[in-house]
Amino acid sequence: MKYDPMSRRFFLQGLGGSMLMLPVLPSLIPMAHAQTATPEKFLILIGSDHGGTGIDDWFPAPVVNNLNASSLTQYTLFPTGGPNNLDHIIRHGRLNQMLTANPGHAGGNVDNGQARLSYVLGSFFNPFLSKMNVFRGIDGGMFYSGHSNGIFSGNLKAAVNANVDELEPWPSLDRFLAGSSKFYPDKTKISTDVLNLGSMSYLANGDLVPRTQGRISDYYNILFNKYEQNSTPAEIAQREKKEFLLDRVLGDYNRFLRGAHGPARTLSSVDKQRVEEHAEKLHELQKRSQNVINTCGDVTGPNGPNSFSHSQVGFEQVAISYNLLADLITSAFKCGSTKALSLTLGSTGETYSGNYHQDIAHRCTEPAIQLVHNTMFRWQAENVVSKLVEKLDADSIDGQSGSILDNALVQWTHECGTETHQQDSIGCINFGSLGGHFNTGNYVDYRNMKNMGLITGSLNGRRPGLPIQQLWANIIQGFNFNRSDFERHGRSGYGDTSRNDFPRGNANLNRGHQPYPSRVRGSLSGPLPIIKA
Amino acid sequence: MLTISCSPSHNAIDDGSSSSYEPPENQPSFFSCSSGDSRLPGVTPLKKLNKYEIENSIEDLFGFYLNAAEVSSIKTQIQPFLDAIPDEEVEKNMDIFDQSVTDVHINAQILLAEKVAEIITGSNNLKSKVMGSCSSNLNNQGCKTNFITNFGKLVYRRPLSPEDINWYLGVLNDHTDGYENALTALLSSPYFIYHYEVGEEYAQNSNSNTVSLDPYERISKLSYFYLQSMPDEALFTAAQDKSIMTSEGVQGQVNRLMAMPKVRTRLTYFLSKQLFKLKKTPEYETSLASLNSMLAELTVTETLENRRQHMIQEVIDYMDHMIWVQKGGFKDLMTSDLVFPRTADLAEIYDSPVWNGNNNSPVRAPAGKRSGLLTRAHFLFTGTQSTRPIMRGVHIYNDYLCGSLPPPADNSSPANSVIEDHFSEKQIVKGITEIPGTSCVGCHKGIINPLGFPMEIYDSFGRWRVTENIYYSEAHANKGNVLTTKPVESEASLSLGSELTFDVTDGVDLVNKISTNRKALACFNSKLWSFTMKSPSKIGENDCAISSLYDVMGSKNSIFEALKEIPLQPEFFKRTVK
Repeated sequence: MKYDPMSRRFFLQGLGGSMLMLPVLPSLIPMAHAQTATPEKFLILIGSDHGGTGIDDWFPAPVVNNLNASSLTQYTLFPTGGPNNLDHIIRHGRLNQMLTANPGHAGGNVDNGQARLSYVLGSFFNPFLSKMNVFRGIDGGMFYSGHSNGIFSGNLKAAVNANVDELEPWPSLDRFLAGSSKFYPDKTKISTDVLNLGSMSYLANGDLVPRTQGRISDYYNILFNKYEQNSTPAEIAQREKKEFLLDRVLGDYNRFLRGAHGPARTLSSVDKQRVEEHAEKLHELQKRSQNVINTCGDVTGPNGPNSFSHSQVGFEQVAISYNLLADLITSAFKCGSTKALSLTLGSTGETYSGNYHQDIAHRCTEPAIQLVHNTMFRWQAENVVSKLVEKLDADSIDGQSGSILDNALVQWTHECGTETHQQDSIGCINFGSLGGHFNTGNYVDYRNMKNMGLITGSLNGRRPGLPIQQLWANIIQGFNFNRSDFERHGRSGYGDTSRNDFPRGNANLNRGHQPYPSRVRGSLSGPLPIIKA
Repeated sequence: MLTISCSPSHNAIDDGSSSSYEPPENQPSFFSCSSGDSRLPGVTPLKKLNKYEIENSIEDLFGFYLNAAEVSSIKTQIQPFLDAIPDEEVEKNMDIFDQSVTDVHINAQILLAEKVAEIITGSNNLKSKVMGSCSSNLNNQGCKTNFITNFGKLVYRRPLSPEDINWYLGVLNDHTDGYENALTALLSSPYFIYHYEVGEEYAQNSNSNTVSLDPYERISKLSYFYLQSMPDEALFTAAQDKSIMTSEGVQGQVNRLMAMPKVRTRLTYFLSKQLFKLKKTPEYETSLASLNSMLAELTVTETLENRRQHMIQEVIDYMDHMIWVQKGGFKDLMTSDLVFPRTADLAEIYDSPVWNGNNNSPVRAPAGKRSGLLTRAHFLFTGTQSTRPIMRGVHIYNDYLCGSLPPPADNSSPANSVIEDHFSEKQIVKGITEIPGTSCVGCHKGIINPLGFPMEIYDSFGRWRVTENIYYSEAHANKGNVLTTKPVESEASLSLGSELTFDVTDGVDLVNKISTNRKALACFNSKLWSFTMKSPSKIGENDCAISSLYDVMGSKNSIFEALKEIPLQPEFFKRTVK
């Protein structure tokens, strides 16, 4: 882009405090990634509290209406191996064949008659059906019971539950990747290894990495200014001061160009050119002092309230903020500022003014309350998840085939299954194929319908499926790691797999059915059927 | 003594109309100046302050507020930051023509400004002196305004406009380190970094090709010519009361400035540096056995770096004496046998006593053995045992006769050259470069060699000699030992046009003849004018301006007086903008 002293080149320039009202335009950012033999891959982990969506509003309607829909393809995961090794047959189908217009939903005609997968997985996901996988039967570990964000990311020990004391801490998926030179060959070239906007990022010793507080503009500074998240206040103050100073000096050159001592004393064209060239170099210095990575061009800062608190700015503005976040992370991925985002949504999108956890989440089986609950999840799906996916899919990394989304893995996980505090069939949706590592466009039901080894047996079709540790192991391997890179103690899977019981309903570990027999637990680093390409 | 008739009105600053200049009747033929010709250099963008000017400007800026010791302390602290600013460098021309601005320059300037601001605001004593009452009343808006107005005026070298003041108040108010940021921003401003010469007329008539500088621009032009720095208080007053717009006002300021010791020191140093590229002394080729043998002949032991510094200093001391003490002209500059070796190592080269630094007791070289600038050790020293007569000849032709030599077509020895081990330096050079029919002979036989061979009376250290030691070759088992000794052959015949056709016996004779040569004088004046306008001025391109100065030099026969006349030239306060 030709230097233009009157344009967005001075986007940070004071000029009395005004900032140019320009959006981030990822498509204008030149390719920043080094041309490497290995294509870049990206991770986004999104976690929503509670779970408890119920099956009706979550899973695609056809499979809801018929648990064993004949339209689904069956696949034998494990043939029968005796009483404790029942044949494990799974089912799968194509999402684009599961769209249903559902105007009669209690939530109203929110999709304006458009077909959709479900109330929560509304029509806004339709453009991405071929790039997503909806899972059922991905279970939250052997004994997990909720109240933990570790379920989003790989550290099952992080739970408010005495039964987890014996577990080993594991780094969350984002931290595992961030700590590896395979993922980040040269950390001096990035702004941050993980943009941590959640409560799910755990170090190898199990310590939770505090969430980066702030607004979009703060995250912008992190991603495009190489602010270390653990800078001392003095270091941060020094950087801010330098940035302020360079901004003002650049502004001074702008004034000089506009007309020394006012319009009456204009510069000649040769003088202007001279000073413009100086200002151009000053601008380059400004970018370098901000350590803008890999000449990301003019990634302008965000404008607007960019707050995530709906109580402060209202839902509409929060939605704008998440839209900006989608732009920001896409730009950051494109620029190489980072390759990982962790985002905890909590109860974002809920409008209930009371105790949400007690009054809504824990009563979510009541239809009216479930509508409130799922309206929240729908808001998250529409305004956060689909926006991220949309922006990632609209851009690409130069030199790599496919969109950024095609080379990413966006994992949206709920705290619990379709009932709160239940750990089977954790709400789990993936987007992106990690560069073709995964097949996408699928609904896959990993439950073993013959296995009655769960609490209360067959209530609501609850059956054990596959431990989430296998999904995590597949994700890590999708980033070109080998199982030897993460396995411990001779056990397969990513995350602690030392326990195979359930804290609840141990008495119901009955009928001779182990929810996760050894053949399942022994295959946790193996390819996840159907989705592993 | 050369007599040139004066051209009219050297005491009036005309309004820029070139038609008022009438070339003299006996103007040298190599000048081509007619009535109506432009006297100004071509279009050049705003010039940045060079490194020397930045250093001096900061020193003098704080000289308004602080005592000498405090300023010296600041200079010491900022020296590493000054050193980080790239040196100007232009091959084969004045380094001040280097107007490059790279990211290294930008970064270094910002860091320098930051450091200065940090030093001032980090000391209660300095803060109280620079900010006055503001230092104890930092939040007072009136105080801030006064500080920006007054300090800013010095940095800008002109009063700030209300818009400027508000701008810097914004910088000052918008951050906790307000004063430090304001100081840094001011010292990073384009008004400080560049020589602001926009003029009045261009603003009013953007069709004009030239501008006349306004009062504040004039005082800056004047101060940076003499002081190599920002204007002092008297100059600011002259701008404010507009006395600088009159010839009497300019003359008064020039007389005052030329009487300042600081001007003498800075102008002499910088003029010498620009005219003679004083940093370019060669390195020793210490691997040469023959050179080491020559070094062993010297009785005074000194490091190479010190020797080089001593030689550079001697040139400056020589120029200082010639310009300010003797008030000599070009001929004096070229022919004086005074030498100024402050140290024993250089005195040994000159075969003279050590100079005690007192201009009332200069030292003379042995009779007939030194003659002016060209015989300074700095210009003769080669760093090898070879005198390099080719390079000496090129140096004289390019730098003292304003000649322009094309690059050698082929710098390899011709296939049919015959060189014997016992050949003298002159024989070797002739044997390689003067073979009939080769591409070398034109430039070498006609121009370079006749200028270089007379200087063979000085060895590669610059010592006078009548015989030449010829050493065994470096490939010989006896390398480092003298093979034979021959008388020095320094005769030459010049045929460089009607102005420069004569025979010479040796280097002293050559220099004496050059000293009275009109083209050499014109060349010197062209360099003086280039220095003045910070822009290359060549004979054949800027003849009107150069010939005007030529006339002045001829009539006054004093470089000192010529330096005083320069601002009275009508072009001095003008600039071509398109």
